[in-house]
Parts: sequence; C-alpha cells; structure tokens
Amino acid sequence: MIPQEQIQSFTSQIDHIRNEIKKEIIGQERVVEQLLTALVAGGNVLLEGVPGLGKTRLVHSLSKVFDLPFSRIQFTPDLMPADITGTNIIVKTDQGNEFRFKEGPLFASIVLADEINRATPKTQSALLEAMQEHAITVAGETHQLGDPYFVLATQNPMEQEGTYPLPEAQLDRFMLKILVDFPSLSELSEIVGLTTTTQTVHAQKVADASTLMTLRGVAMDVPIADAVKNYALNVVLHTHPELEISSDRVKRSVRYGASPRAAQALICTSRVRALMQGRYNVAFEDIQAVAPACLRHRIALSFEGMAQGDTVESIIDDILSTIPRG
Amino acid sequence: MIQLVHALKPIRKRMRAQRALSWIMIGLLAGAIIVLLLRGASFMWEFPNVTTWYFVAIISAPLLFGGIAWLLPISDMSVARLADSCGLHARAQTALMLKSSDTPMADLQRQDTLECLNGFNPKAMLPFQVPRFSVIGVLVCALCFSASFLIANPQMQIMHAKTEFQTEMKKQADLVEEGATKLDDAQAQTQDLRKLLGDLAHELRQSTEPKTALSALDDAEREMDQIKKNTSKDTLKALKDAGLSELAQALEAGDSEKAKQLLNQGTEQANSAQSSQSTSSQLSKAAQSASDPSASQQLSDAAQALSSGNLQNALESLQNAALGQSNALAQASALSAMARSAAAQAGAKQAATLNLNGLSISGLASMSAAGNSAGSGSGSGSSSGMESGGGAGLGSTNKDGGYTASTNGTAPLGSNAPKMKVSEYESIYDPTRLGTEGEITNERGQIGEGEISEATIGSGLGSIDESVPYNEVLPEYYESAVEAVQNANLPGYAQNWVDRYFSSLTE
Repeated sequence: MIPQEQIQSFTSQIDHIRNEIKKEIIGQERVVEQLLTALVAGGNVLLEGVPGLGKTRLVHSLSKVFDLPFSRIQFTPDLMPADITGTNIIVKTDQGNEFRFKEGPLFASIVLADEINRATPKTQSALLEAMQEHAITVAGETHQLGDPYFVLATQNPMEQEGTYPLPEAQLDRFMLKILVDFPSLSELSEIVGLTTTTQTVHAQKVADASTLMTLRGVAMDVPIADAVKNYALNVVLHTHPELEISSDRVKRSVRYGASPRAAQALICTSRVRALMQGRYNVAFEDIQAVAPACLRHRIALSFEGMAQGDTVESIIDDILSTIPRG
Repeated sequence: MIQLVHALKPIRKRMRAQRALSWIMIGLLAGAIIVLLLRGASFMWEFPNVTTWYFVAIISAPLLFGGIAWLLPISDMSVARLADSCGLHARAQTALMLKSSDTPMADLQRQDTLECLNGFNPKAMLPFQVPRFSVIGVLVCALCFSASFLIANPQMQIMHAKTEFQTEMKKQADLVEEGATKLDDAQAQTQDLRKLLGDLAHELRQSTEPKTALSALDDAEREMDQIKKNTSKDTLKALKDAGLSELAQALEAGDSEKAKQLLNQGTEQANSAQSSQSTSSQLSKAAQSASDPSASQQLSDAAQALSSGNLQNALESLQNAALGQSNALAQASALSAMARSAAAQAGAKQAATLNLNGLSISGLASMSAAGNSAGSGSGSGSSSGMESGGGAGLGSTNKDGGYTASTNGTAPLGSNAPKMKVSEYESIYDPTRLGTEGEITNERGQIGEGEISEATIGSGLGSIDESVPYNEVLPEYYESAVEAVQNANLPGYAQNWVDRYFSSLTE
C-alpha cells in the first residue's frame, strides 16, 4: 500500500518538476502538463509541431529534471533499424575477435525520435517494438530496456513529401498526441530573451527514476467511480461509426474509431490529471481534458468527412458534449 | 460511511424538497387538466356540484403527487450524483464506491470528499426550480378554463331549470300539506284524503322532472276518483237497499227536479204523517247500511235535514253523496289541480328553456322530450264534470247577433248589420263566434301569402257598457273551453283540469 504521505506529496512533487522545467521552457504549459501526464502514466508521446518550437529542448529539460539517460534520434529516410537499436560489432579482444552488442540510441530512458515520419517503415517498426515491449531484439537476442522508458516522437505537420506516415496500428501505440502551438508574442519575446543570451539558469535534477515510478504507482492507485469509467468507455465506443450508439456525424465522417488502447490511455492519463488537480478521484472533467490528446491520432476521417471539412478535434468535442454523465 | 451519509443529509433533504416541489407542480398541472376535462364534461352531461369537483381535483392532485414525491426513498448514489453535479467532481460518488475500502488512497479521498461536503451550501448550490412546462401548462389550462365561461353551458341551464322545477315542486308539496291540515275533520273522507295528500306531497318533493311529478299527481287523482266512485256507488246501493230506488235513479240520472219532487212527496206525506217519517227513516237506514263513511255521513245529513224540513239541504247532501263529492274531496282535488298546474307550468318553462337554447345533445333531447312527454301524460277522469254540470247549455253564437259568414267581402243586410272586418285572424276563443258558421278562420301559409279568409263578426252578447250575469255566460264559456282544449290537442290532464275548473264553478 502506498503511504498517505506519498500520495499527498504527489501534487507538490509534480509542481516542483513543472517549475523546474519552466526554467528552460517558456510557455507551452499545456504541452508540459500533458508530457508529464504521459510520463507519469507510463505512456509514449507523439509531438506534432513546426520546427523550432523547443520540442527537443523540452525533452532535454525533462531528462535533466529526472536525471534520466536521454538520447535524441534524428530520423532520416536512410536511417536503418540497426542505427537506432544497435548492432553487433566485431571487437578485438585478447581472446580474439568477437561480436559484441553495441547499444543504439534507443538504450536510454528518455528517447526523442525526431521526425519519425521521415524514417522508413522498417526503422519505425524497430522503434515501435522498443516502445511496446520495452525490449529490443537484435540477431535473435533480446535486450531489455529499463524502466522508466519514455519515447517522445515528433512529426512536422508541414513538409509531408518524402515522408512515411505512421500506420494507424503504430500510431495507436502512442498514449498521447500533443499538438505544439506557436508561442504567443510575449512567449516568443521571452524565448528570444532566454536563448539569445548566455543562459544562466538551467533546470536541475529534482527527481529520479524511483521518484517517477513512485509517482506512477500513486497515480495508478487513484480510484475512478463507475459512472466516470463508463463515461470514458462510452467516449471510445462513440467514435466507432459501425456501432448503433454513434452519432450521425460520426457515422458520416469517421472511417474507423479508437481502439481499446484509447480507453486504457483515457483512464491512466485521467488518473494522473486528477492528482495533478489535487483530487484523489477521477472526475468527468479529467476525462474531458485528456480525451483530445488520447483520441486525435486514433480516429481517421472518411473521405466524406474530409470532403466536408470535418475535423477530428470537432468530432471529439461533439462526442464529449453529447454523452450524458452518469 | 456514516459520516459520509450524514454529510449528504442536507443535500438529500434539498433533493426531496425539490422533487416534492416539481411533483406538486406536475400534480397541479394534472389537476388543472382534470378541471378542464370536468369543465368539458359539464357541457356534455349533467354534473351536479361540479364546482366542488373542481376544488377537489385542483387540491388533491398536487397534494397526492407531492406526498408521493416526499415519501419515495432517495438512494445515496442519487444524492451523491446531485452533489457531484454541483462542482464536487465525482468525489461523492467515488467516496460511496470506496465505502468499504480502507486503503490510504480511499481514506484520503473520503477526507477530501467530507471537507468538500461540509463546505457545500445546498441552498445556494441547489436553488429551487419550478418545472417550466408545468407552469405553462397550468397557465394554459387556466386560460382555457376562463375562456370556457364565455360559452353558455347548456347543462347548467338544464340543471338550473331542474332546480327551479324541484323548488317549485317543494313549494307545491308544502301547499298540499298545508291544505291537507285544513281539511274538515268532521268529514269522513278527511283521514284518507290527508294520507293521500301526504303521499302526494312526498312524491312531489322527490320528483326531479315533470314526468315524475305529473305521474304522482295522476296517481293521487286516480285515488281520489276511486274514493268518489266508491262513495257514489255505495250511496246509490244504500238508497236502493233502503227502498229509495226511485230516488237513487233520479240522483244517478242527475235529475235534480225529480229527486226534489220525490223528497217533496215524502215531506208532504210526512206532514200528513204518512210517509215522511219513512223517507227520513229510510235515509237513516240507508246511512246506517252504507259501508262508505262519507256516503253514510252524507245520507245521515240528508236524513236530518229532511226530518227538520230543510228540503234543499237534504237534496244537496243526497246529490253530493250520489256524485261521491264532499267538501274535503273538492278541496283535495283543488289542491291536486293546483299542483298539477304548477308542475305543468314549470315543465313547460323547462322545456321552453331547452328549446330556446336549441339544445340537441341526446341527453338534453331526452330531457326536453321528458319535459314534453310529461306534458302529454295520462290524465284520469273523463268529462264527468261536463255530465254533472249539465247547465253547460247550448250557448249562443254570433248568429243571434246577426252574424253571417261572408266570403265576398260584402256586408249582409239586416237589423243588426255586422261590422265588416277583414283581417288576419289568430286562433283565439271568441264566445260570440260559436257554432258551425262563423267559425274561427285560420290563415294558411306565411303572413301576407296564401289564403286569407274574411269573416264578419256580429255584435255578440251584451255590450261594452253592460255586464253579463255570470250564470248566463258560464255554460257558454264552459263548452267553448272544453272544445278549445280538445281542438288544441292538449294532454289529458290539462283537459281534465279545465273540465274540473269549470265544473267546480257550476256547483
């Protein structure tokens, strides 16, 4: 059983971490919060935003705060799976030549996979195996990845030429898809002020892997009322056009709906959010807050939906507002 | 858990009160709809005390609904749900779910919930709300109800007419009872007549429509006729048994002259001490043998009058006995006739009210039919009044005054040249125009169209400055009245009433 003190200190610890990250990241509070949510919930994140918004810096700050091994992989079309997983190399030893496994950049606790859609599907799948299994298999040998293991993949919403969009099955493995917006004028001013001078303030370590695991343990213990759980599950079910309960709009505009992983993501992330809000139970508002990030990459629009200019975001909003609570 | 339930108590109370309020409003709407339906029904059917039912509906429905709402149990989860909807963020529901859990997380969650519930102000967070649809519904019903008063309610008119009839009948019943107490106690028939009139008064009080009242009156008059017949029959039998067959025959034939003669004979013989004692004693014997008390009394009166030499009184007593008449019976008949007249008038008024409103609903039609059919109810009796009142005579016609029917518009010549009168006539009784000629002419068709008969009218009997003796015009009026009611196809009881009226005038 998790002691009460640990539970009660959750919010303060999260606030501490958040404040530390703020030292290096200006604005993007929603992104930071969602990122931390996913990290505590034990999921992976797909970040989408134009270049130069500080995605790499954010992940880097995160790794500093938790003092976790961090690696960044810039995905390119010529990147091979072995480039990221590692490979066996011949090493000269006293006994002669032998193969030794050289770990690739995936062997870290926090991995930033930049522009994942630029890599070939083969390389993408190598990353996704690591995400899902927390293990890498090379030449028949499985190498376990430690806990916590957090993959943050990025995508550029522009420059889609020459890219390999992630297939739906693989998109589904990301717990959240976070949209990074362009900063406001004031935020931009601060960013420029921070980054064009000799930076004197850096994020410091305030937590570690065990702290993160503890936080995760606390979060997963947060109770959720049946009515709230049913609400979350109904949200997922209502995204499916083949079901009777879905609305006419979903039937018309959606090609396929969210998988059961979406339901898992909703529950896990809403638990973390509830604690972040200082509550010891999940509320309907938590589900509504995390639903867009959990669902937007799991719902595909039909041709009719696209032709009519419908968007996944508006469909999700529609679903959230129409399902009755309890 | 107990703490949690206790903390939810104010919310539960508020919820119960809100539910009761909502249900009361729904009950009010239901009551208003029932009132509106009752109002509609009151247009179709008779609905006594409908106002009471309005009040019953409008008061009992909200009370019933409110009572049920108050008494129905409210689950803890419903209360929790309501509390959570006011900004508790599913705390209450989760706490209820964890009621049996004792993990640190569950304890913290419960504490957090209790803190929030303690700071929860139900009055501020849950203001009373009245269901809008019920308010609008009640207002609409009230509007329709008010508007319905702009339409005349035919049933109210029927009931009003019925009430008026009942009031009149009660009044008549009182008069009949009062009249019954004033009957001559000395008369033998009085006891029976009082009972009869008492029963009649009771029936009149119970009657709600003319049919019933007139039926009761018919029964009473039948009984009175029976009493009269019994007395008459017994008198004649007693006389015959006492050896006064000739006298009995004369009385039966209505030959008062012969009866007087026979009595006179008897008196003369008595004076000569030969047979008057025997006539008087014969009458006494007849009085003793008569089984009918009234016959016996009147025969005894006749015997006494004869023995004291009062021939006229003796004759009158004998005539009354032969007819079965008595003062008490005449009074009772008059009371009955008065009540019948009032019943007929009240019934006619009721029917007129219905016809005036053009009522054609079946219930109303049957009511008006009942009113009409009551007017044509059976009447007992016959033209006995006419027979007994033989002084009706032939009467006179305007022929005596020189009337000649004319259709060519020329006035006939003669000592009493009639005045020329060309007009459109109504069917009215005119004693100067009796007889086969110079009958009342009727116009046919619409006024101004069709045939118009012309007739000249004689001066008739008497003149404007003079008065005609009552005895001379009575028979004429009597005959004309009987003829008129027969021609007018009036119901039997009306004809009898006219007959009796004039017959009583001839006595």
